[in-house]
Amino acid sequence: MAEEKGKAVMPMEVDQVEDEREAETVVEAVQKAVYDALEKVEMMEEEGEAAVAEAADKLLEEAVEKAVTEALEEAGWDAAEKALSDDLEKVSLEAESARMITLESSDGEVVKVKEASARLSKTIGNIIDDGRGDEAIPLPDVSYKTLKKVVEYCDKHADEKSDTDEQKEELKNWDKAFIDELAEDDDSLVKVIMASNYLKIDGLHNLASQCKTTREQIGKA
Amino acid sequence: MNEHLRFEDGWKILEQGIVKCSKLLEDCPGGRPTVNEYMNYYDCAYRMAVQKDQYCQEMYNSYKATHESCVCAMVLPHLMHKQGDLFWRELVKMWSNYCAMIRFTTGFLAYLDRCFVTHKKLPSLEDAAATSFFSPVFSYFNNEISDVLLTLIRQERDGCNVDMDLLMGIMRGICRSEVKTKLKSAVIQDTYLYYSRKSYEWIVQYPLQDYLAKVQETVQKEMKRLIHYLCISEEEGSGLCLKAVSAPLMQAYENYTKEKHIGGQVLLQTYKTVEDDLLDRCSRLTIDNGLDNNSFSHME
Repeated sequence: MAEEKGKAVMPMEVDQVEDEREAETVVEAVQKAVYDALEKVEMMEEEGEAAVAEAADKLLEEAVEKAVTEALEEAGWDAAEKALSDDLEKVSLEAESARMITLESSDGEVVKVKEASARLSKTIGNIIDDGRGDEAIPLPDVSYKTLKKVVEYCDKHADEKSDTDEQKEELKNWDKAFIDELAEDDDSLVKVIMASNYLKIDGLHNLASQCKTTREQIGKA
Repeated sequence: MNEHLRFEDGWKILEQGIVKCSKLLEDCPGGRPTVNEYMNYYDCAYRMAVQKDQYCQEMYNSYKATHESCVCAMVLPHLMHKQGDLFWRELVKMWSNYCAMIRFTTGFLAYLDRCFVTHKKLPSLEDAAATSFFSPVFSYFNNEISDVLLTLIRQERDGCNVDMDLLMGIMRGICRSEVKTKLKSAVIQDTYLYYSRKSYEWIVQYPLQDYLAKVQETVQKEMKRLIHYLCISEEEGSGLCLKAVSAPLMQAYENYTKEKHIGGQVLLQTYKTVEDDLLDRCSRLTIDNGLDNNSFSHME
């Protein structure tokens, strides 16, 4: 039945099945069950037994379900069906994790950000936890320009894996490049420090504050 | 955004937020702030905390006072003229609603919590809110609340079926508040009385050797119980156990042996050795029995 041992064949791959007669048997079994059940329903309706006809409708549903299940099991497709439902579940979980949160800057601009990124802010995380993540979240203390930089940092840190030393090093280098670019304009750096404090994004706040302290020390020297 | 915000003006906004959330105490719809309102309150508290003339201490004090006013106005009337099980159910419900309320109000002032409160080593906003709830409740209903809690602890001790989630929700709340010492002394006193009564039953019921074994087993069990209920360390638990459990049980033993002229010194010495060993082991334990940070979500 299966192309390789232990590998189930999906229903949509019937044309690839070596023994096509087996596939025909499945279809016939299902059709027969449907016709039988339909006949019963028609007979009952002719006799004018509405309530019984309703029950027969249910019977039809059950007959089809049973026939399909048995036929699929016989053809060894139950594993494939399970794999399909697992995939669907995975997709729905991914969709959930990719939920977008809407943030509104002090100058009225809207920024959409992935939930995982938004949760790096404890302030926004509290609002999401309260089930209010579907509404636009106003940030009256953060301008659009600053918010874009904050979101850039959050996106990178939410997406990036840092399990291995190599990955950690890579993220560290990204942080350095990010903060160096930001530090070219002292005003932008200060605003990011204030925004990360306001939004409680500890990683960004520490990173930006350290940079500011270092610059001040260099300035004094 | 950068103009100076006077405390009176800022607190008026925050007070509105707290009063709005206090509707949750009576299960009223509209107690939950909208996202815009929430961020408005958060922004207001943040600005008052970071501006040149900051009002952190004033906000902290007013936060406690406003919560206490809400409790006096909206919780105490619900507890009036209720006793026993009725009082308990109402208390649990009001505490649960209050926990829902302070989830928002501590959120408004989260910046204050993480900067000012931590820096000044003050009780957290959640702990302060717990005091604002239990302080007036104990002031007005000291007997009722003590009776109901001690009864439930006794029932659990006797093996009755007690809803531990509800009981521990209230106990943890009290242990976060400044009322903890009142509760602790009440529990210790009641435990002492409980084992004073038990000692007279057991000394007659068991042979002396078995009685001492029973004492040892009870001390261990009760120490765990006190640590759990009062959210205290192992060390403190063992000390309290000596006073509240070991003392009355051993007093009965000594009285009995004197009365019956039994040379129980050998047995007594054996017990003392076992007890010393137990307490020594307890004092070396370093299991963290600090407060559960999630005690407020516990009731929700």
